[in-house]
Order: sequence, then C-alpha cells, then structure tokens
Amino acid sequence: MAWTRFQVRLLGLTPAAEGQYVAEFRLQGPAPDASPGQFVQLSLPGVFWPRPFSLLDWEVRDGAAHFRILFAVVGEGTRALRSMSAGDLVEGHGPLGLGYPAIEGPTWMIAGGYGVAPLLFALRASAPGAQQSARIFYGAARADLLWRSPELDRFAATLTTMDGSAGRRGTVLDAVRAELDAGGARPVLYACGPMGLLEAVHHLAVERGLRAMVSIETPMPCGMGVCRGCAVPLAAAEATDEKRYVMACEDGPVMDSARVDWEQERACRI
Amino acid sequence: MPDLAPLSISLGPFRLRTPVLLASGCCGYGPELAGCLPMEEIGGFVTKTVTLRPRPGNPPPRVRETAGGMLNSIGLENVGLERFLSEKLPQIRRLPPFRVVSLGGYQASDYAEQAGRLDGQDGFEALELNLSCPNVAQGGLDLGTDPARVREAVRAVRERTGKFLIAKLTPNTQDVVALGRAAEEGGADAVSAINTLVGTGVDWHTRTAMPSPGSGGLSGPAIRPVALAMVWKLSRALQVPVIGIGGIMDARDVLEFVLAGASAVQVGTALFLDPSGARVRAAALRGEMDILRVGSCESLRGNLEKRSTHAPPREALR
Ligand SMILES: Cc1cc2nc3c(=O)[nH]c(=O)nc-3n(C[C@H](O)[C@H](O)[C@H](O)COP(=O)(O)OP(=O)(O)OC[C@H]3O[C@@H](n4cnc5c(N)ncnc54)[C@H](O)[C@@H]3O)c2cc1C
Ligand SMILES: Cc1cc2nc3c(=O)[nH]c(=O)nc-3n(C[C@H](O)[C@H](O)[C@H](O)COP(=O)(O)O)c2cc1C
Ligand code: FES
Repeated sequence: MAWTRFQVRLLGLTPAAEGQYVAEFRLQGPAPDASPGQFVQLSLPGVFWPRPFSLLDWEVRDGAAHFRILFAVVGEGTRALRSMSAGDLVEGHGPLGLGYPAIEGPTWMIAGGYGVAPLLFALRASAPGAQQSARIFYGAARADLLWRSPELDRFAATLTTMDGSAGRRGTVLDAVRAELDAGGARPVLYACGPMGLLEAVHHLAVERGLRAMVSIETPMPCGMGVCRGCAVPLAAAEATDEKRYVMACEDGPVMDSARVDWEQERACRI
Repeated sequence: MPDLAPLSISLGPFRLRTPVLLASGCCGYGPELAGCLPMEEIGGFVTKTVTLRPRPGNPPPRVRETAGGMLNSIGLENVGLERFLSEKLPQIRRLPPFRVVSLGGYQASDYAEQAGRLDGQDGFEALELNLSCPNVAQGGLDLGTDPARVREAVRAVRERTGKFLIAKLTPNTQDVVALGRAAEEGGADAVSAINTLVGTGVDWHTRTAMPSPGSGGLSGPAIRPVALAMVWKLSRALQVPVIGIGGIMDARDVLEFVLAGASAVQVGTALFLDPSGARVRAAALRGEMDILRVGSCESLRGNLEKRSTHAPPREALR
C-alpha cells in the first residue's frame, strides 16, 4: 500500500533546537510503506492548506506505522503544531512524492536546518556498507539552531555554524568544498534545506562535475499532482514549448538538481 | 456503501448516483484520484480543462493561501487535445459515469473544433465549456464575461456535438443571469457556476502581487456565499438545470446548493485538503440527510425560500 488518508495521534513533542521540535505520531489504521525523502501532508488548526513535512523516520510497530518529523516554527500552522499535546489527533495523508535513491557508492549529504531530517532517514535506512561510504554535513547559523541528535555522532557528522559557536565556522557548503579539495573523493551529493542552499549545491555540483539530488521546497496545496500548483521551472536541456515545469510533489520533492532552471526558480521564489 | 437511492438525482436525461461531481482542475483528468477516492461513491467528475494545443502553464508562484481559500493561476496547464485523446481518454473510459470533459479556448472556433473531434468518441457523457479563463485571458478580454460571445461559443459547439453540453459561467460579471440566458439560447443543456473570482494577494518578503501574473482565481469556502447567491438566481431564471460550484467542503454544503436549486454540484478546492473526498462521499451525504431529515436529494431541490419581508401584524402576536 502506497498512499493513505489517515488520522495520526501525536505521541509527543520534544524540543530539538531553538524554535525546532521533533513530533512523533502513530498512524491509526492500516500502515503503508514509506521511504526517505518522502513527505506527509498534515492538516493543522488555523490554516487552510495541509502542510508538507519530510519524514525523519517511518517504522511499523505492533501493526501501526509510527513516524517522526523535525519541524521549525515559522508561521501559523507550525505554531499550532507546537501547541498540541500528546494524544491529540491530526488528519492528513501520505506518504507522498519521490524520495532519495538508495545509496550506492560515496554519498555526501548536505543539510541546512530542518533539512537534516530526511537525510538522517536516508542514512539510517541504507545498508551498513553504504553507510560506510556516506558522510553528512549539517549547518546552521548558530549552535542553538543545530539539532544535536545522537545519530549525528554515530554517523560522524561534520557540523558547521556561521559564527563558529559549534563545529567549523562558515557555511555547510564551505565545509563540503574544503573536504572535496582535501581528497580525491567524487561523491554524489544529497541535499535538503533552504532553496538558496540547494541552488548553491547545484552550482558546486556543476563546478566539480558531480551529481546532486536535492529536495525541493515550495507551497504544496494537494501534494499529489492534481492541483498543478507546485511548479518548478525545468532547465533548458529538458524544457520544451509544451512542458516547461515539473511538479515538486510528484516529480520530486527529491530530484536531480540539473533538472531545475535555477535562475528562473530564484526569480519565482517566495 | 449506504443505499444510494435517496442520493440519486436527475441531471437532464441522466441519473447521477449522487449530486457530487469533482470540479475541473482539482482532480487531474479523473483517473489520478480514482486510487484514493472510490468513484462509485460520488456522481462523477470533470476533467482538467483541455485546449487544442498543449499549454505549459504559468510560472510560479501559481498558488497562494488566503483566509478561507486560495488563489490560483495555474494558467490552464494541460496536455492538449491530441494527447488527451491518446493517453487520458482510454483511462477515463474505464471509470464509471458521469464523466465530463472540460474544454477551453480563446474563441468560439477553438471550442467547436475540439467538440467536433470528441463527438464521435465514447467513454464520457458530457462536455463542459470553461468559458472563463481569467488567468489566461489574452488582451485582458475574457470571452466568458460577454453574453454575445458566450452565446456564440455555445452555439458553435452545439452545432458540432450531440453530447450533453454544460456551459461553465464566470462570477466576474455584473449579471450572471444574462450569461446563463445567453448559454441557454446558444443551446446549452445545463450551466455550471461558479468559476473562480478574480483576486490578488501580497507577498511581503518581496512586495510582489500574488500569484505570479499579479492576480489569480479565488476558490474555497470564502466564495461559497457568492456561489450560492448566483446558483439560486440562475436556477429560478433558467429552464436548464444548474450545477452549483464554489467552496463546497462537506455534505451540508452539498445539500445547501441542492436546496438553492442545483441539480448537481462540483467540489474543487476541498479535494486538496482531503483527496479521498470523505466529507462529500455517499456515506457522509447520507449521514447528513438523516440529521437534517432530508428524504431525498431530488425532493430537496429548489426549495430554498426567501424570508417573508412582512412582520406579522401586532394583533397576531398578542
Ligand atoms: C516536501 C516538503 C517537505 C518539508 N519538510 C519540512 C520539515 O521536515 N520540517 C519543517 O519544519 N518544514 C518542512 N517543510 C516546510 C513546511 O511545510 C513549512 O514550513 C510550513 O508549511 C509552514 O507552515 P506555517 O503555517 O507554519 O507557516 P506559513 O504561515 O505558511 O509560512 C511562514 C513563512 O514561510 C513561507 N513558507 C511557507 N511554506 C513554505 C514552503 N513550503 N516553502 C517555502 N516557503 C514557505 C511563507 O511564505 C511565510 O513566509 C517542508 C516543505 C515541503 C514542500
Ligand atoms: C487549482 C485550481 C485549478 C482549476 N482549474 C480549472 C480548470 O482547468 N478549468 C475550470 O473550468 N475550472 C478550474 N478551476 C475552478 C474550479 O473548477 C471551481 O470552479 C472553483 O475552484 C470553485 O470551486 P471550489 O471553491 O470548490 O474550488 C480550478 C480551481 C483551482 C483551485
Ligand atoms: S501540490 Fe498540487 S500538484 Fe503539487
């Protein structure tokens, strides 16, 4: 089973970093499967559209799917989510979208802010051998904005902050660049974070002749390809007069960064 | 599934399982939602508007959330008539009726040409003419706001098709009844109303007007009272049946439109909140009818009354 309309029970909210929380849910009813990079739509009180959230994990225990998300409080919907209590019910649907491909060979993961969630899921879900060949870089502006998940140690994450208050000083991309310069690695890049970071990852990938898989973020009314609202401009190589856009929700959210016309995307960004 | 008989309703020569159809542009071409919304539990669906040639649609941002609804300027993104015929129609053919193909165009001949190509095809029961494409209007002139051009477009299609013909009306007008009459005169078998209302949002980060063309179509519960008023007016003024559209979120909303005279309704934006359509499917409708003591949809139709404008004489109160 791939998709389901569901009701989930909030099992708990845990503070993760300044303004960020981990929410754990149990899905009532039949449990579908989900993979890293996929997302769920949650209907939150006080806002009209459901809100998309990437899965931090997904596990079927005692016949019920359990999942967690890492979220930042940025507006009305996420404020409402933060104010909920264990036991509260939330409606939604999913899992949705195309996730990250299974790791094969050297893979470097680049996370900005809550973008670390699906990348940790991807790392955890991959075979031990694949985990050996993967690295994760995780950056934020300040130490208090980094979520110190115990898994970061397990995967020997490289942390960065702009002010040097934790890990290396600078952007997460500075760290990736330095590591690429240091050795002869030719990894595939997996990225999730603000659109500006994804664009920078794309340029780095082009510059170094690497492949980058990025998770696109845009408002998503339906999340399943029927409203055509989450259009992303296609790069010239793929665009035609008849097809100039792909849908972030059904052709993504994870897609090869080379498919996107980043200049146009930046002009359209909100 | 509950007993569907009390839910069924007549639309022209057709008997719909329930009054609920899925609105154009909100359910793909139909098959996309069939996996999560059992089509036997609703009355049918209307496809995304198809144009003669494919359209890539508008640049992002195409959508904007608003109080009680949303603005969209999708720009009629669609695969075009050729690919509709070769790829979409075979899938639509496998779904249960009532299946409606929505057609869009810039001039009467665009609609007529498409209707002609579709007339010999089976696998659908009706055509709906999307006469108002506010976000793709060329030169600012929207065909659907001019009764003469509406009459002309409907008539041109009527001459080319034997299919049940629905004219979808725009609310962006002084006089929706004039548009409805024009459609009727042109030979429409039914009218549907309403399409979206023109609106603009503001993005404060960039100080730009939203969505991308600077305005878009408003939909969702925010427009329901406007839609109800127009449907009520149209159903009293026209001979042909009226299909009510606008902000329908649940079974009670469906019944409100039927009470206001609608022979069927369409549900659009609500599908983005719940693509399974649970709140408008047969079971929900049946449940609401029990609560409201409505015997059948058919018997409810058109019974909305105006409140008496005269207060009872004082004597009567004593
Ligand atoms: C596939 C996908 C996965 C996501 N995963 C996560 C996640 O794991 N954790 C998380 O915290 N958030 C995630 N998001 C973003 C999350 O959906 C938004 O932060 C949320 O919708 C904000 O809702 P709100 O009502 O709190 O804020 P709103 O009031 O809706 O918005 C607050 C501000 O953010 C902007 N904004 C809102 N939504 C988006 C968006 N989707 N893209 C760009 N700008 C936006 C608004 O313009 C506004 O400036 C994801 C988004 C997508 C598309
Ligand atoms: C994203 C979106 C796309 C739409 N596309 C079409 C379309 O292609 N053709 C059409 O006739 N109406 C289109 N509509 C209008 C709807 O069919 C409907 O008339 C309108 O949204 C009001 O109903 P609602 O409030 O239930 O959504 C669209 C509406 C939305 C929200
Ligand atoms: S969110 Fe509706 S098509 Fe992507």
